[in-house]
Amino acid sequence: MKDDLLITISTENGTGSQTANKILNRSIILAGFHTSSKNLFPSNIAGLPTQYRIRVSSHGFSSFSKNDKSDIAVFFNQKTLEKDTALLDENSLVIINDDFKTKPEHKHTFGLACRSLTRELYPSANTRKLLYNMLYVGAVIKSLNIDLGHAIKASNNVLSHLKEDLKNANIDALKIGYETYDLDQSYSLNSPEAKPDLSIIDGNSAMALGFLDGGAQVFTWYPITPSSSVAENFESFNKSLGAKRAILQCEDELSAVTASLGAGWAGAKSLTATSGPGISLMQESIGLGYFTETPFVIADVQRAGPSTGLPTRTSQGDLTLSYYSSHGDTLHPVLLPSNPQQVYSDSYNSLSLAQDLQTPVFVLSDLDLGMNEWSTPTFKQEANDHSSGEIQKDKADDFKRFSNDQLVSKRSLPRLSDVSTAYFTRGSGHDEYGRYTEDPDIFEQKLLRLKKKVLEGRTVSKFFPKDIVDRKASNISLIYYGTTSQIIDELLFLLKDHSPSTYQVRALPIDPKMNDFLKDHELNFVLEQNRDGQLSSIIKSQIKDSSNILTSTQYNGLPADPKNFYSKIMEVLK
Amino acid sequence: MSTNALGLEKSDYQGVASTLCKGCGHDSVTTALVSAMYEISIDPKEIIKLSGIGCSSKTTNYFLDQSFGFNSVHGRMAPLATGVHLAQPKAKLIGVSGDGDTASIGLGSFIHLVRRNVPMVYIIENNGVYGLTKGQFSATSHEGDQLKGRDDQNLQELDVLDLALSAGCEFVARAFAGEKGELTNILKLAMAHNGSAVIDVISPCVAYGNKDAFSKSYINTKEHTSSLHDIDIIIDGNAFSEEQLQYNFKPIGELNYNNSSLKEARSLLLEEKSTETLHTGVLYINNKKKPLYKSLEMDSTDSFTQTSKDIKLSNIDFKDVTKRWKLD
Repeated sequence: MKDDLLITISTENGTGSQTANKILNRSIILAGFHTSSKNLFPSNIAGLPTQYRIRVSSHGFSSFSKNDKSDIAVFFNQKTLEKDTALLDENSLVIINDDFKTKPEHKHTFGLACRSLTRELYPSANTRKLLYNMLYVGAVIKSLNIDLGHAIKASNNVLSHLKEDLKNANIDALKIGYETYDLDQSYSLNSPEAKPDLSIIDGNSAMALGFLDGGAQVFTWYPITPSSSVAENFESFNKSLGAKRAILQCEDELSAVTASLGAGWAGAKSLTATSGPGISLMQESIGLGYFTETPFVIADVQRAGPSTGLPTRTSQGDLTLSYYSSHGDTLHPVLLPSNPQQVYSDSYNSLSLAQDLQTPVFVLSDLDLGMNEWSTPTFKQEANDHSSGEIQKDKADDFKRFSNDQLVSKRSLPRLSDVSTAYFTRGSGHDEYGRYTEDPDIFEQKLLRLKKKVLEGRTVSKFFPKDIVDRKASNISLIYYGTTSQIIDELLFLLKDHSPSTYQVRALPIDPKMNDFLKDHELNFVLEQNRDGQLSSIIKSQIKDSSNILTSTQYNGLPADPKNFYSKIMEVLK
Repeated sequence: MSTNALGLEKSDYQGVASTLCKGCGHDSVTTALVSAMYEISIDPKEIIKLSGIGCSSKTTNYFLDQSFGFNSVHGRMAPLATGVHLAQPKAKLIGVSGDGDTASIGLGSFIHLVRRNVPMVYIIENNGVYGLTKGQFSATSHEGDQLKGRDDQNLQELDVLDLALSAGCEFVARAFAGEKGELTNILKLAMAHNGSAVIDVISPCVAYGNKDAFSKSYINTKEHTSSLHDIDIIIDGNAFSEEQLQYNFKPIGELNYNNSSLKEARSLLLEEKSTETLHTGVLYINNKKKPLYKSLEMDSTDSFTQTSKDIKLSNIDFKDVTKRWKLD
């Protein structure tokens, strides 16, 4: 009986293996097990090595360490056999394409004669190659003692878009793989519990749903990995519902963000979605939005930078870039979702938060959350009505668009509000009426109010997500955000002798309530997927005594690795 | 005091006092805009003014004080306008840009705005020189142009109208700031056009670009301009529907530009290069393209009229989207 198992599938990208892997993952979930699947794909269309890893864990643990040995390894890429062999131990089961010229020496190896096994299944030889993948799905399912019915159901689900004959050919290949596998080497997983009402979803789809439900009226964007599917899903949902929201693919990120700003200024709930390089390009207009107090949302699905970096690998490297975006003194609310439910909710709430605070708001996802598939209880729809902030429609004698009397002043909208409230918006220095001024006191007052508006934003808007805190009797704590939250269960298991308190940061700026939490612990470990501890530096900028804050990091582009964080924490605790 | 059809006085169309140099061509464009808007009796509430950065971009503050305006960042007037259009497809947008803003830093944005046919009046106050940063050549200055304290311009100029035509613009016009009557008429016509209307206004810079050895000086421009039409309007009867000819605006005079042809417009621009003539008037006009919001299959609803109820997904729609992820 195993309660934790790792499957690694090595293929070439562009061969259709991703679809087969999805089927395999769903089959295991349908059989009642918890999985976490990671697609480690290249920035390329076809021919380069790609790896898909599924961790099956009855504890509900996610992720893996890069050197973890595979219990089951599928070798379907001739070029990477040597490298793939390094991830085996003596008990590993290898399922290999038997047509390969060279094969590794390994005790438990099962060959699938792909060419001959699929010969009768489909007329076109090129299409038959795509069926090879279904052979290994069948073999793995058999080795796991999982009922074939689950795999057929998963195939029907994933392949529903295919023509009947092609779908059937895939299912036939699946069955052949299942029936052919006859090694003694097999695994029995701990008896599964019945799972309620599950969905499988990637974070970018959940994000698109959040923006759609949150009332986004204008979505302007520019294609970039790994965020394109946010806009593409938004467009496809919009179309399927017969809605008429504005979706525009722009000429670059400068235009995407500025169009979003223009739409927000004119009264629409608007957003753009991008990744780190796009945020770099958008800096100037983000500052314009901040200074002119214009609401819009920027979604960032983070990838590993700097520069082009690793476009298909994950990171939390854009935290300070977002929080302090643009030149001069700025500060922006940043929402930090860690799972599909949160990324849906945060995207939903961000649009109204931007309206309440009249300022650009960031939603920071990452490639791990955005592009990997997650199994999740089917999520609940947000019940809150949207906000449009406070709008002055009627005639006003002395309308101050940028009044300093309150943190957020009422705004007027072109063609809606009375002409007496019309104002001239400018990114240059302006007084409470929006008129140009270089007066030093007025400039300082404005910058000070803008800072307070964001720092005290929680008192103005109910759309800020709340931090998730679990205070224990321990004198150490773990502080984390985003997808690092996915490994906390396992980290707590590894650290069970210390039983640390936990604090999931859900938004920037830091909630002042964190102060007491930090004081209550001798050591606070901030866990981050970036090199320099960006959240740590932000906490330190807001908290007076930061001597008890330590940072543990991972920045190799792979999803957060519990063992990495465990060993770094233990170096300190020993 | 005389008033227009809406009962508004001309002063209702004015803005704050200009802070540009005395004699700046841009102030003449401002005056022409005030006249044109007053004369077509448009409600200032319906207009949104947009600009980027530069001397030209400042001018959106100098007319239509009762309209909302947005003076944004350098080169980004086009996407700003695009966003405003998507939020309010019925708004009448007037954008004022310069040759630095449009032909250099914002060139890509400009071309794509025209390509998408964002309905707006896009005025380029073109003087061939960066004024606000004190007299550098812009990309619309001509080979051989001279500016004080700088090497002669030895690169070819960019012609913003040629670029607009290439991007499929259906309203392409040129004017001279020194000929306010013609400019006013072109502006009225542009306001009736339901698409991107690009007007290249040669608007001399009195501070840095007004010497004899500079092509876009007042004297040189005046000497080389040649009007394509009578000062009174030139309109292709097929180019505008009744619906488009709103705001009590009626074309005046003969329809002497009834043979609108892209080929002819291009040959006019080519001819300019060899003869140093500068044609003013409407070089090309058409109405075959859809405005952007129609290309995107949107309706023309103003976003601010939509309530939470209108834009939040119903429970049925929410389930309709989420069911695709269900495992069973």
